[in-house]
Amino acid sequence: MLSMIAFGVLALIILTAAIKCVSSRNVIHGAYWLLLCAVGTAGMTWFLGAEYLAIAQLLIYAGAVGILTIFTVMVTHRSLAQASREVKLSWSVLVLALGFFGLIAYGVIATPQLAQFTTAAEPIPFAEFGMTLFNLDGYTFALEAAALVLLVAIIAAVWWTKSDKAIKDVERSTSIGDAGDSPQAKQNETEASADEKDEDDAEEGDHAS
Amino acid sequence: MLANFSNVGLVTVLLFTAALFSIGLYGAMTRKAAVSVLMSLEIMILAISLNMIALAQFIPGAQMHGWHFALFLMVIGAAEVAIGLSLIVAIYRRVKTSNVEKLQVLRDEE
Repeated sequence: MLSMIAFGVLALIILTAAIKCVSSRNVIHGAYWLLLCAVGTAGMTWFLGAEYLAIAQLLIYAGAVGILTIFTVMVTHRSLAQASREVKLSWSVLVLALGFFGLIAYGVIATPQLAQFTTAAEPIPFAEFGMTLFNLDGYTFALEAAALVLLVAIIAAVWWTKSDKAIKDVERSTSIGDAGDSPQAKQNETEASADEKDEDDAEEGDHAS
Repeated sequence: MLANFSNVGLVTVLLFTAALFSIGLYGAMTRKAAVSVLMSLEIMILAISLNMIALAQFIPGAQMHGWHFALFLMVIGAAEVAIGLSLIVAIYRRVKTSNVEKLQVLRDEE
């Protein structure tokens, strides 16, 4: 009974945080609600018996991903007016989401085999988990593939977020794309050539509208 | 232990994660800021990984495989966020907006 109440409270916290994250006007508030949602999910993972995964989730989602998201909001939304947008309830999407939930819920409830799994197994020792992870008969190749995916992601992230000057160089050499027109971009390219500035001024009208 | 969810039951957890996933789905389809869309995707990934862990704990004999799946899902989620956020920054540098509804140009207009 106690565990049911604890589960309900934790589930309520996570669902509230998720709804606030999806519906908050200010993007940065949404990022903070996502942090709470991630911490709650890690807590639920812990109480389900997967302590190691809970700690990893806390480190990765609440730590790395949350902070990265907040930093990105800070980089891409310079003013409060930019960060807060009006949120309108979209009935069609709401119906779609509720329909999806209904479909899954029907599938779960209408499958009698699922109802027999009421008690969780004793958690396996973590050493055993590690042994299968680094065992050639286990998941070693998947682990290496996952490491490769992360490496590619890191390289791609560095490539995409190279400095403005590097992007300018690439644009000059390939002569595609338009240069930025915000005040900050202007400051960044004070050392850039004068003919590019003229291009900016000509295009300022489009973007302002 | 003060609270252990070992007798909550698989169906309850599955319904909860379905609700969480639906909230993320709603957010991903309605939000206009690209960062918000990515945050909604993040909620969906959280729901899926919780789903994996619940299935691993409650179905006998599945524990090891479920944990591994959850672990690899975490790796995929982290990679997705890293690439997604850096793409948003790159797009923002180029067009000075992160509103996904304004990003309708497929090629550069020269």
